[in-house]
Amino acid sequence: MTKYLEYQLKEIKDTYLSYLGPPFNEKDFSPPRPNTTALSLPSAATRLELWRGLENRARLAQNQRAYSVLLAAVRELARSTLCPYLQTSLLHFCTGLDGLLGSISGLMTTLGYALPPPSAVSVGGSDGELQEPRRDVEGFWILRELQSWLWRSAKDFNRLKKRLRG
Amino acid sequence: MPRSSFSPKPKCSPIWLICILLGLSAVHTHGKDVPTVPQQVSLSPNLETQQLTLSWLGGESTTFDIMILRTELNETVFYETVSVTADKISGQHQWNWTSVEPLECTSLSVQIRSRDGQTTSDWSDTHILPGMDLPSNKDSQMFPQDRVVSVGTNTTFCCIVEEGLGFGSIRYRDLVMNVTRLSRRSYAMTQINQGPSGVTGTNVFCSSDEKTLLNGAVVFVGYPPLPSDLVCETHDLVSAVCQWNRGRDTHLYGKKRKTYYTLNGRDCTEANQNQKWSACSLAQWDGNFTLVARNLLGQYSLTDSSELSLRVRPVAPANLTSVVRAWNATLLWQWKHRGYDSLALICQVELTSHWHTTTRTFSGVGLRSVIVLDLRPDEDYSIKVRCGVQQNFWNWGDWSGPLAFRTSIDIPDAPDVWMWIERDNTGRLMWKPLTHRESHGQITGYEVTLWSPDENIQHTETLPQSICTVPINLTHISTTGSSSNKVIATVIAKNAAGVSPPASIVMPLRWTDIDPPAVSRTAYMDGGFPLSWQSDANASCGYVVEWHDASCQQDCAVEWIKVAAENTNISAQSENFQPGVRYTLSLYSCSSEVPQLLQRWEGYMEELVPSSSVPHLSSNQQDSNIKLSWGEIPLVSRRGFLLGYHIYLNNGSQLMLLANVSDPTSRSYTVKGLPVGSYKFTVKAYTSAGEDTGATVSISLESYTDWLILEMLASLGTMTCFLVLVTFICYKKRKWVKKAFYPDIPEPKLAGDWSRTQGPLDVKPSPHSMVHIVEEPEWDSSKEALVVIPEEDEDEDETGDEPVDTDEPTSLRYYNQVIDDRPIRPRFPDSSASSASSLDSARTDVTYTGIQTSGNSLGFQLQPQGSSEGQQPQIDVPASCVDGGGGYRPQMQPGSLSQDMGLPAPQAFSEPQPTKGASFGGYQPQCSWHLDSPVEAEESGGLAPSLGSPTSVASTQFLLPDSGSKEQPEGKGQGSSSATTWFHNLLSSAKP
Repeated sequence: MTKYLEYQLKEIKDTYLSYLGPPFNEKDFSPPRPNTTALSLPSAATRLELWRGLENRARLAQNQRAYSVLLAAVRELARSTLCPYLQTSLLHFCTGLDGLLGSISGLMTTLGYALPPPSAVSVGGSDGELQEPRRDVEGFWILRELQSWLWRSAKDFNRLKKRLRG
Repeated sequence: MPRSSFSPKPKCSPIWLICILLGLSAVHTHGKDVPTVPQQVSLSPNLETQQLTLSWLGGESTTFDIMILRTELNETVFYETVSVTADKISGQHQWNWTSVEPLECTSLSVQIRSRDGQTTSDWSDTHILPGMDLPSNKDSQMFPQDRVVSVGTNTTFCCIVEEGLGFGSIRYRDLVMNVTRLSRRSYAMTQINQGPSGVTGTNVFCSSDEKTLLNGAVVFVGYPPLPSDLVCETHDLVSAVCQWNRGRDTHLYGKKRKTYYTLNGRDCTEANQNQKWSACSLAQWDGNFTLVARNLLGQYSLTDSSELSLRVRPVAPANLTSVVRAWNATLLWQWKHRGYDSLALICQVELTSHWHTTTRTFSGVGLRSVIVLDLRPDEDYSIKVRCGVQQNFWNWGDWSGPLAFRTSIDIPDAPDVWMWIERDNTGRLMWKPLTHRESHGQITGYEVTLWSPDENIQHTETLPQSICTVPINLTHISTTGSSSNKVIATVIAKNAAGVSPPASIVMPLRWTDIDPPAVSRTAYMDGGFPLSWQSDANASCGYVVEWHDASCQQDCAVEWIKVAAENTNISAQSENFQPGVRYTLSLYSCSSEVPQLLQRWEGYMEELVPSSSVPHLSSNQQDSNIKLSWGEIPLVSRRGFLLGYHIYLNNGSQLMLLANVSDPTSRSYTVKGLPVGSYKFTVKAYTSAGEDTGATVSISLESYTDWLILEMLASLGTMTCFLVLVTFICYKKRKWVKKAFYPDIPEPKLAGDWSRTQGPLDVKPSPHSMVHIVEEPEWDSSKEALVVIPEEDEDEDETGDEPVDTDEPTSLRYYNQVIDDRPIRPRFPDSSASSASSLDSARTDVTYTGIQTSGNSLGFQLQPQGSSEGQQPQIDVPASCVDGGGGYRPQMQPGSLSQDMGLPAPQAFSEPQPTKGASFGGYQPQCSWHLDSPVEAEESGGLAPSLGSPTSVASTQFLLPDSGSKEQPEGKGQGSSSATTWFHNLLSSAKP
């Protein structure tokens, strides 16, 4: 599922960056990660030895939290998007992401892990709270983080599958 | 001297005047005092509009110098003298300045001083408007943020670099812009004449010198709203609905930037943003309507005004129902608004059947039902309605939803009946299958009735609906009691609603072989064959035009069309017409009697090239000409009216047109004037569409030799007869011939007196030259020739012992050397001796005169060259008797002669002699008939090398050989001289 969402996200990201226009749709463009959402948006980047040292419970918990935040962020992104096609694509993607989140939660419950308390997720804000370039950069980073998390989740789930079989 | 004591003028001192003037001047100077320095200067920035409002107390002054500097770099941004009047109430002066750059970009210092003419006050204290580039704000920033501007305007952006970083560039979309440094950390650039933005605006980004993004801004460039065509109307006779065209795209989207509309002050939130047309409703008709469109760049107003009655546009009729019959239907509907009950309405009913749409109009007060006529039975219809007000018509209302129904069935129409009679008196009764529109319901079958009016006998047959032709044996009918020559056939169609009216036709009982009228041609055009004819008085019920494939022989597919009596021209049209097929079209008159054939046409829908070439193409040589013949192309293969034939000479790679036979009935063509050789001919028939692929035939034209052969045979026959006659005569007269041409040679007298000079031949070689050769310069020495024996050579060999005058054959010598042209010296001393003796002997001239040629003398040539020149044989050659071969030795055997001469036998010669075998042959003229040619003489073993038959100087008669010549060995020349031999034998046999 993460692979499917990763593929789906790639198309959406291309469309979204074209929608933002230059320089966002330039290949090497990488704006600084904004502080506004970084506070609540967990980064998929982590030190390798730390990641390897994480147990299944911790991994699943981090995934669960990350997708909770990211799902809300993508929904906000869809809401603020003025392009109907892109809006539809983002909302469709949210459905898949919601399914993934449900799967992770179900797995945690099955394994007897406690679900992390739902954090008061607040991503972005209503129209007018953020200036346009910051909103654009934030959208850029939401999709980038989502891409990273989907890649990381695939690894986590593979390891989990091996551990559970063993 | 007298002293005047009178001084009438008072004395006015100039000192006082100067003092007064100075005093006045001082007073005046004191009145024009230095202007007061502006006090209480305050700065009030408007960051959105980039406007800075300056306020100060400036006393009485109305003119001020204002100076604005960029604080950090102390650069002057503005320095001008302005006139500002003080507010009457507060006494404050206020002046606005609009900055090109956003006011946040850098700190600005403001100073003001009063001016009175050239007098100015001191500058006020410097007042600083702090920018966002103060060291306390370490982060990178960019201004302005989210600015909305009109298309074509210029906007200046500034980037404040993060503390500690270096500035890199500012990009507007993807363009790197030229920048101006405003302060230590602030840089600005201006984008001029901006174009409209996209949905997300235009991005402006600032990067550090390490090409990392520092910050960005978005500018939204668009247009103010420009709606048009505001129109308001009512549907329910109470409320108002206004529509307008949104006009050009403002390029401004989103809640903040989109266009908002108000109608008579009421927000039109329902106005669809994505449509070109927007609408907004008002609960009550107001008569005057004002639409205001507004966005961040401006607003635009539209107005409309009208009375309600002039703007009534009815709603769509609702709840449509129908009452359906076979040929009409009643349509009913309802109105949503009661006000329509008294409203005069005009309604359109749109009827659609088989994708064909017709519109009918009805009117009435409060109209809610109509009867739709002229429908067809058993037909599907779709119907919808819309209405407008009859008075003060404004616009058609919306169409109602469609209502579909099917009409009832009805009895069928009468079938279209026709007949076809074959030559064998069998016929077919045919009718066209009823179309859906004609059948008025599903056809269940047909009923065919044959009725003989005289006998009043009737035969009825019921046929299923799939049958539309029935065979009729007219012979059977005529032989079963009908005395009439016609029968009436009637066809009726049946469906669930009943039977159709009968369709009848009168059929003849036998096929009448009437000569068809002249067949004319008709050309297909505009989708049919145009036909016209003279009106026929007998055509009481009109005409029938019938057509079929002209090449069809049996069970032909026949089509027809019935024409009213008043029409005398139609266009025969059919979907079945095929290109390349000849159609026969016949016109019949329709009456109460049997239809009469009036006229006939032939035509092609489209002429094509013939599908096959001419059959049976053959070629025959006639004399020196070639006759090409071919057969007729079958009608089905012609595919067009034949216009003729093209005759081509086919040389393998290309065709050369020989002739154009423009008569299509022609079946042959004669090619003349061709030389002997092999030829291929291609014949191509052609129509107006072109020529066929062609048939090819080959022929080898031979010379016409029959007459030549006959002539040759006749000549040979004549010659043969002549020869036979000559032979016969010669045979009969052989004695005379012998006497004339072959007299007895006097017998020589060998013993006795050698000195006698009397004899048949007095051969006395010249002491100097034995043979005189007439030499020609061009004579080829390599060829056979007589060789001159040089006299000196002769002299050397001369012994002088021999008698001078002698008849010794050896004294008569000549060589017919073939190869060696050198002077040949006789190798044997005897010969030399004899030659020497001959030199001394009396000279005897042997002259070759009148060399006689026999019948095959053409082969007896002295020399090929000489004969060709025609000279040599006629030359009189004074020849001495040389060698021993040429001596005149009549009736003498060679062997005995040599012995008599005392010469060594020929066998003793060690070297071959040119005249070997004949050297001592003596005189053998008779055997030289076929040995005239030296070549032959040599080939034949060196027989006597005499040229022709030498004649005596005293006689021109031939010296005929004796019979001993027969003993000469037969050589190659034997065969060639067989005729001569035969003649010789013939003559010999005549010898006594």
